[in-house]
Amino acid sequence: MEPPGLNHWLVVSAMLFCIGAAGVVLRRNLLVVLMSLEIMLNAANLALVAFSRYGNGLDGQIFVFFVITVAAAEVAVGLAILVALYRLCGTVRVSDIATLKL
Amino acid sequence: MIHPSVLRLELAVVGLMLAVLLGDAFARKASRRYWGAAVAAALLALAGYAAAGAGILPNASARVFTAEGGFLVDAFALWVKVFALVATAVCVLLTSRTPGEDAPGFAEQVVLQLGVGLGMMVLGSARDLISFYVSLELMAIGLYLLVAWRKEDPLSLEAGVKYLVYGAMASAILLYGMALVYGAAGSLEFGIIRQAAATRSDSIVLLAGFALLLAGLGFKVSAVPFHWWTPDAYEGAPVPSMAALSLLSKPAGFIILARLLFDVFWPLHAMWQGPVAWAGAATLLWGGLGGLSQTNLKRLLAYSGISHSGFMLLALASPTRSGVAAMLYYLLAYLLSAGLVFTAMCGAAGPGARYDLRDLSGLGRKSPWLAGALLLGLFGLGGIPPLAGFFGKLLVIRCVVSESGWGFAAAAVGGAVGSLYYYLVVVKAALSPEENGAPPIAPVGRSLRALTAALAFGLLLVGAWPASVWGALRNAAEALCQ
Repeated sequence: MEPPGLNHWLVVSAMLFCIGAAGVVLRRNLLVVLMSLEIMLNAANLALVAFSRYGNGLDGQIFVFFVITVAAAEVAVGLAILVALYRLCGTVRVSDIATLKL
Repeated sequence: MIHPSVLRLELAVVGLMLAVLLGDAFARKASRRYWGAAVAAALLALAGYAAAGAGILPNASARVFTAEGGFLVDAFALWVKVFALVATAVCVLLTSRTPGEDAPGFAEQVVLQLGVGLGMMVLGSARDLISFYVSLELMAIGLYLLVAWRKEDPLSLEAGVKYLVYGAMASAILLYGMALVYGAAGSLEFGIIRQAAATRSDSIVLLAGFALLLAGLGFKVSAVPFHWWTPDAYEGAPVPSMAALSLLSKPAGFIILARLLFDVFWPLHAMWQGPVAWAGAATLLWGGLGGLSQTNLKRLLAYSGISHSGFMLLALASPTRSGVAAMLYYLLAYLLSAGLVFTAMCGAAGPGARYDLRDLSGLGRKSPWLAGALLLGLFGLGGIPPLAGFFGKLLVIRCVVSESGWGFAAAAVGGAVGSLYYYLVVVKAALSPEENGAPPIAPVGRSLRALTAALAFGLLLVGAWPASVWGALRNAAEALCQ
């Protein structure tokens, strides 16, 4: 069996990205939506590391560290807002927080 | 190697953030009266220093790099810093009115606004994908919190959640685009990406990455078809946060869009010109028509913001230096007029107000000063001569006629007329006699008076005498398009 190459990693990363995007659009629970957002970011991370590993130098992997840090901050803020929302409204379901019309 | 002296403006803002935090921990309550004004004065002093070159640039066409080429200071970046400092000062002054300097969390709110402003300052200088991404997220994460700030108000939290989910999704799309561009170009640096765009313009990975970058930034500037979050986020957010959204976040989107289109992806300009023009026309019409049926001032201003985004996209769709200069002039006019409107809104109601149009009734009688500011701001947004908004629209339409054709110019005029109609609806509401149930107005404080006077003066000056800023804008545009 041949070892996985750049294209294999890119296909996995694209699939992860689509799974994450579908989760953000389709799932009704905001906690799961936040997790799906993380999957999307990690799909990009995987692509960065793959490109970096197959010939583009180490820059991409350094970028990934920045992304991980930023994603942690983003999730901290997201969870803080969700906790405040849950305390006030008693729900974190998308369908229950639709006072503002789209 | 990082040269701190090149980062002196950013470091000064970081120092200001630390000073506010420490001051909040140690200062007595009585000494907080003028905090907002003091922070704003410091920001404006920095803006003046930046406008004078900040001792970094020897002349207008110089380029100074630091952080391994990831951070660039040129005339364009300096102009962005001036803009960001002034806009942050406006937001801080608005915060010192609502919720007020003695409200809990005032210092934190100011620190977050300074962080958002700092993000825009770094973004103007971004020269590789890391500084681009980190500065954009510095702005976005602060804004998620600012939008959701009133945590006792379900609307504010709902707006915060929506902005967070859509914003984070846009960031993820943008990041995936960056990963693809990195893979195709082999480097994170804008200079090398530009070379790759010139030599490998048929690379499907590069083009896909570029398209994803544009989609992510389309969200930040609320361009059709990525605009739907805007009215919700604006309606739920407190007014100072709404000001930060439209005076900092949106201009930042346009700044980095200009950097990408006119510098990094300039070799592909034949490819992006058409889509940007179409997105601009659609955004303009959507904003102009969508606002017509609104009865809430905040939602109406969101649609107004969408329509202005359309104008600026159309300016960017003309691939010339005049297009960039017109966009920069339009941004300045937008800052001054929208700043006036937000100031009047902050003065006209307390922290929890919903700003339905009928709540404005009797404003002209209760506070002529605020009504005048609202009127002038709305006329500036609508483009009534001799205010700056008029020249902004004129410059953009001139570029559109020569580069994109008469059809797009007709769309621009149509959108402008639609939005002018709904501005006049607001003016009518503000000047109508008072209805029962309209909220009383607290006296207009000194800092708010100074802010309105300064913004109104700027709006008239830049409008009646465009040459006062045109040279600087032209230099910035030329530094960008090299």
